[in-house]
Amino acid sequence: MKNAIEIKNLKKIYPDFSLSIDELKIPSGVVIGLIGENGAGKTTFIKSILNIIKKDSGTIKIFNKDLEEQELDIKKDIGVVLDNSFIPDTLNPKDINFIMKEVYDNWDTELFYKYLKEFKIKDSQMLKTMSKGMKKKVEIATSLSHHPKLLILDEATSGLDPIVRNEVLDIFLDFIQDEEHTVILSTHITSDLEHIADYIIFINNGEIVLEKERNEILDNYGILKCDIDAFDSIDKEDIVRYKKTKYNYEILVDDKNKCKKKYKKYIVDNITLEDLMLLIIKGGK
Amino acid sequence: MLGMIKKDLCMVKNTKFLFLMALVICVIYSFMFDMDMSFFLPFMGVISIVSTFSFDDYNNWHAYAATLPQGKVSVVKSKYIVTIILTTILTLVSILLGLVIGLIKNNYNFDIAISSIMGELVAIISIAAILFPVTFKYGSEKGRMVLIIFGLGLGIVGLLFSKVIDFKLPVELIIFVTKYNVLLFIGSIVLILTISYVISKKVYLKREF
Repeated sequence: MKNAIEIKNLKKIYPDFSLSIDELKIPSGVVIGLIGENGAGKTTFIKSILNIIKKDSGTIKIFNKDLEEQELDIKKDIGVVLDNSFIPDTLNPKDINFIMKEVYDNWDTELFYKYLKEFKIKDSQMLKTMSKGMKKKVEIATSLSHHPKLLILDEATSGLDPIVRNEVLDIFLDFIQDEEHTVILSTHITSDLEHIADYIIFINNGEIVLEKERNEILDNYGILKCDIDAFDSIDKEDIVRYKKTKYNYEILVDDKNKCKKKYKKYIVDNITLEDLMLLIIKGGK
Repeated sequence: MLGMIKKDLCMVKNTKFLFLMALVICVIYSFMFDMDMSFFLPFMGVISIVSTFSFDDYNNWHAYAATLPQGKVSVVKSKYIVTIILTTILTLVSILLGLVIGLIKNNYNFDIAISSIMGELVAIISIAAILFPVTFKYGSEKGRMVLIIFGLGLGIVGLLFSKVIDFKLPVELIIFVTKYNVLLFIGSIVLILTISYVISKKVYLKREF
């Protein structure tokens, strides 16, 4: 399997925050779900791989090309939706088509208008008169209409109602049918990732704390619930994180089947990505 | 880069009402008060380009632009190219308007009209040339502050020269400027815009979004 992105020793240092990634390989043909709380470093990570911010050290290769040396060439094959950043809202989709024809060599006007029709958006409506959801749809249509190989989406599904969100996720799933296509989706709506992500990258305090296949996480991780008195009887090796609630302990375990057999008296629930995030960020070790 | 130029032109196009108003004001003032309004249209052109910076900032355009395969330099270049295109068109409209009004009022002097518009254009382009690098570096809010400070400063200096200090330009200088006015005009515009562009490019390339 080819790698869409390869990162080595990436560092971006701010006075009060730093992003540090020793090594990361993102294979082609997958959907990567990027999770983490606000300020964890997801946007810094995305901006680093787009060279919007200058890294302090490290190397980034996209499509096996060095980002610094072949930045513009690489960007021809990337579609981007950023959080709160787009074409000025005094323009309309017609203007966007007029502009993007010159920006991308392989801009596909027909495809752009197909998406607009699908999303029920008029090409003459100014972006500033659109709802947040409509504007997001235009951004998504724009990101897809030059046949990119890599889609980088920062909060692309936020602001969309559940029906449209599902339509958009289906579009991303269609996009990924080509094995050369890759999606990086950063979102707070972790349930979306449970539907479409192949891999989950969890960033916390500027570092990757978890990088695993979605199925591996959902199949293996679990939450063991036990009484406050029984907590001491749980083997410390089985505890990844724990959280004390009013009546019991919630313990994050990374082998729920083993724990189900080992601690027959207690319940071991399936986990959601949201539970996982909460326990890793807020839980004790 | 054509994409970036098109984007700025589209934004300017959306302020066409502003230009229509400026045109009406020019006609009214020229006819009713006999004022030379030739500077007004090109000046409004620069104002409308300055307003594109505000919309760019408001929508975080610069971060998005940095994801496009155009390069950061093209964002800077396009602002200057659109400034040149727009001020050229509006200057020509201004000259034509002055000619029509002058012919109707029977007081048109081509030499005086051209000399005055050249001087005014140098001043207008100078404002843009100072404003652009500051805006590229600090954003449109601070850019506007600079415009106000620059305007006030220029006003005070002008007042000082005209009222407080009994300043008169040397005759030789006036003769020289009159003789080579076209060359001086083109030279100053090119020099001012080149210096400004180089500074803008330098500060913009360093900026992170």
